[in-house]
Amino acid sequence: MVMKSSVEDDDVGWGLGVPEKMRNNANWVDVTHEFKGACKELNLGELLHDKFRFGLFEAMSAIEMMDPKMDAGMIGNQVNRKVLNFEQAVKDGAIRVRDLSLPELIGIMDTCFCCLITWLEGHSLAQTVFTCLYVHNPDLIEDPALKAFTLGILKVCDIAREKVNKAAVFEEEDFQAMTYGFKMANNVTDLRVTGMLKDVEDELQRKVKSTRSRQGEQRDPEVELEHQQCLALFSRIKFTRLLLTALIAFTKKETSSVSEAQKLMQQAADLLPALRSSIEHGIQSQNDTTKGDHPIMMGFEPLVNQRLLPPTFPRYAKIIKREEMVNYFSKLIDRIKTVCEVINTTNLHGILDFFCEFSEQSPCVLSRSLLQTTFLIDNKKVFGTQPMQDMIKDALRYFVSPPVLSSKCCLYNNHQAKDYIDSFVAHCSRPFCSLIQIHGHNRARQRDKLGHILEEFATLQDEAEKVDAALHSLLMKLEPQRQHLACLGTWVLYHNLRIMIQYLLSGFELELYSMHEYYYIYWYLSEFLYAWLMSTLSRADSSQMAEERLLEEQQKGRSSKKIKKKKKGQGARPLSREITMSQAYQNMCAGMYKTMIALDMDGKVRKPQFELDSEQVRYEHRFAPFNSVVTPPPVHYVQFKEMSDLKKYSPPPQSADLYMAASKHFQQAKLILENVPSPDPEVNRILKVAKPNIVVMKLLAGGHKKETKVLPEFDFSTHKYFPVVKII
Amino acid sequence: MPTMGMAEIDSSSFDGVLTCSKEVVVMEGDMEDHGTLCAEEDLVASALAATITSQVIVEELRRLGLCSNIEGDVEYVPYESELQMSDIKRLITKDLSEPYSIYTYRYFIHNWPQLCFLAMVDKDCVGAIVCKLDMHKKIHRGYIAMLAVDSRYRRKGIGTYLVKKAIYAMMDDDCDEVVLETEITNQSAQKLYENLGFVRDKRLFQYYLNGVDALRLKLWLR
Repeated sequence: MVMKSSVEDDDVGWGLGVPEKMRNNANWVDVTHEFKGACKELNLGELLHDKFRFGLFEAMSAIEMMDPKMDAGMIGNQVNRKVLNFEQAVKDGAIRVRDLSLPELIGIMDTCFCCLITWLEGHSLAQTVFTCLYVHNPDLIEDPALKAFTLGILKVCDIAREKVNKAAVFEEEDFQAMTYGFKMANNVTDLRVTGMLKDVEDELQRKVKSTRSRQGEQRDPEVELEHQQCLALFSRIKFTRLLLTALIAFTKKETSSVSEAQKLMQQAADLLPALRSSIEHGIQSQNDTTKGDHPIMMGFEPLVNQRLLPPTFPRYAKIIKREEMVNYFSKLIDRIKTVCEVINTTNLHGILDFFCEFSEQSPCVLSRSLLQTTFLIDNKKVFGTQPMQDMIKDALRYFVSPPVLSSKCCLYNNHQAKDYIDSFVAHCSRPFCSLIQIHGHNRARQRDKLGHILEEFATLQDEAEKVDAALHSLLMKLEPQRQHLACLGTWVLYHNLRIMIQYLLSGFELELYSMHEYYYIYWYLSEFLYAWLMSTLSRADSSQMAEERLLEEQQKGRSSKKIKKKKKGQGARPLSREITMSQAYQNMCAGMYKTMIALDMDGKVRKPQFELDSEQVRYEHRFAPFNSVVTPPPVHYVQFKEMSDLKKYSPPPQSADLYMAASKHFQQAKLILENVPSPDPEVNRILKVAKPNIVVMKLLAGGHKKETKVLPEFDFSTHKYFPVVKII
Repeated sequence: MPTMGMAEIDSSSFDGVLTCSKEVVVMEGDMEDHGTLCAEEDLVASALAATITSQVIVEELRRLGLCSNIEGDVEYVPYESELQMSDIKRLITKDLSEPYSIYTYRYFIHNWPQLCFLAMVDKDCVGAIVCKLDMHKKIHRGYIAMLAVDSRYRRKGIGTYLVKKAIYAMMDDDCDEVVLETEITNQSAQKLYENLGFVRDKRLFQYYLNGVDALRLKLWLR
């Protein structure tokens, strides 16, 4: 591309040092004169490029050559050292492949761990793990510990990459799967590598034992130091082996291997204190100020892969610090251990909750991926053993006890009924797998995907209603005293509502809503979605009870064991906790809605000031994903305005009345939550918001700071969906 | 495109912004002292002092061709030629941690010159906005690629005015929505856009090279 610049005759010296090699095999001709002449023919601002599209991508990827802030190639010219690859560095004696001291080994390994973590956090392999020259070719390494270690790290990377790719719950901001053609130790088997690590480990353990202090012995400080360093190296090698073995366990199909992985992770966790206390034994990177460059660590060359990177602005990946390394590993291990717990959950709803809760901690891409691949092996069977369809049938039984799935109902063995339900359940499989997969993505991406999956659930809803109707008419002929009304429909509706609620709530977590939007979001949640959710849950509950009564009646005639059964039935209803929690959430939302209306009346809500802005347009777009849902029908802006119109009350409430009403809602939420048996952290978090809000609303109702025009603050630090309202 | 950075944006201030377009003249708030005004500008000043939006004044402003270029002593001009490019680039580069190549500027400005405006004080370019408008999933989507105001001229409503001008220009081209990205840490930019009715449509994790999350802001026009 040639361009006539508005800055004429930019006579910067083009004293290019043409490399010797290029000089020799080409015939170079100076075209400066012709080039400048040709430029003169261009009009001001005229661009010359080929007829193919020169779009945004091309424009943004284009660089101004030799501008050091843009041209990645220029960085090499800025550093005073020679950038060597592994073979060159060995040949020049810049690094050694044997006779490495213990501090050198410890330092190299810790830096490698830091690189591994940085890679897992979304940077490229080329700028992290592969800045370590040793991993480029472990075959050249003669030191057995370093050789086994580098192979171990490569295997860890390879398996992690495979898992993340397979789970497919990452986006470019989460993970860089590119390997740039690096060899990932594929010429050695996993077993061989763990064996090598174990050998080194045993050898080191002998050294640790032989150098440890004996009773009554005068301790030689040098021996003590050696002992410490051997222990440090031993811990690192063992940690690598455990991490690798755990990842290998995840590649196996048996559920037992997941428990095995959990044990291995615990052993790895036990090594962390030893890792932490021995970081200082490793050599540190040399921050040579005379070179004015990046800190250089022996065996590492941050620029070695510079030419593999896209032609964009040059930069170093910021590798995490060694002090942070152990903390990261500790959290990673906790996450992986949590992942292993999933196999103890058998119910689909329980599994969904597990995925939701796990995702709420914003876990890393590796643990997210491991959870996905543990859940669905070969994409058909849950935990590798149970078909998804069976899980769905169990979930239906658990939630609404549909007659068609009860062995005591005539539909159970009816061919036609069986066909209906089997095809419905088969159609459920994909949307539910997608729903679980969505929870594997990062929190920001989930929201969009939840909006889209509503379309699939709308289709499912439609089918559920049709199947319910067909089963009902079949049942009427066979067992007129029973009903099959809105069973499957209730179940799909329940999931619809959960997705819709989650979609709206995630907007708070991602800080997407402005203060002036709070009121319609909280209104939609409290007056509409939670109201629907509670009626859906109670319908499911009564449907369960109806089935139970029928069963009891049938059993009354046959056996006398009924008393035992009855006692069981008198305990807490299966859905009671969820109903209670929904009531609490509804009250929290209602409280927030009324708070916002009252604040607005007092002129304490900042609103956009632009003639092209329209609340109606904004509202319709905010709730647009709900348009694909048939039940519940979306509430359009005009309806919302009508339904929430305060003028229909006489006299219309004033802000003080609304603050008081809000306070009562928070009070109600508090009462409900305080009566929840065995409260979990979530219950306590909501309570921590409800309590101060009760007080603040009462103060506001009493006219506190009514005149101040300072905007209130909404503090979401205690709970991500409900803020503590603060008046300053 | 995760490498897309956004220029830092001036703080919003709505005092003393006179918004004009082909159809509409709107005045917001009270005008403060605007220094010396020439004869024609006196008309504006008196209108502002009275804070009346009268049809007569609007028509008079239009007749005098003043609608498009008065905001105190700041003059707003449309993009005309490559000669303004170095000004725009200089202004925006100042606020960027990593520079855009000249081709990025040209991509936007050559394709959508009508969506690029400059704020001038005397001969100095103190503010600039660069946008595009194309189809995105059957929607005419406007995109504010860059907005920058010289740090010495912030909190005067220049940024807001430039954005409004750009949005009106996009409306002329049948725009349905306007989007842009900003760093989650850039509070003043968010405030500016939120005051115009933009909402935070999406969060983009680690969007910028420095690992900071971005927000996709959006204004729905229909």
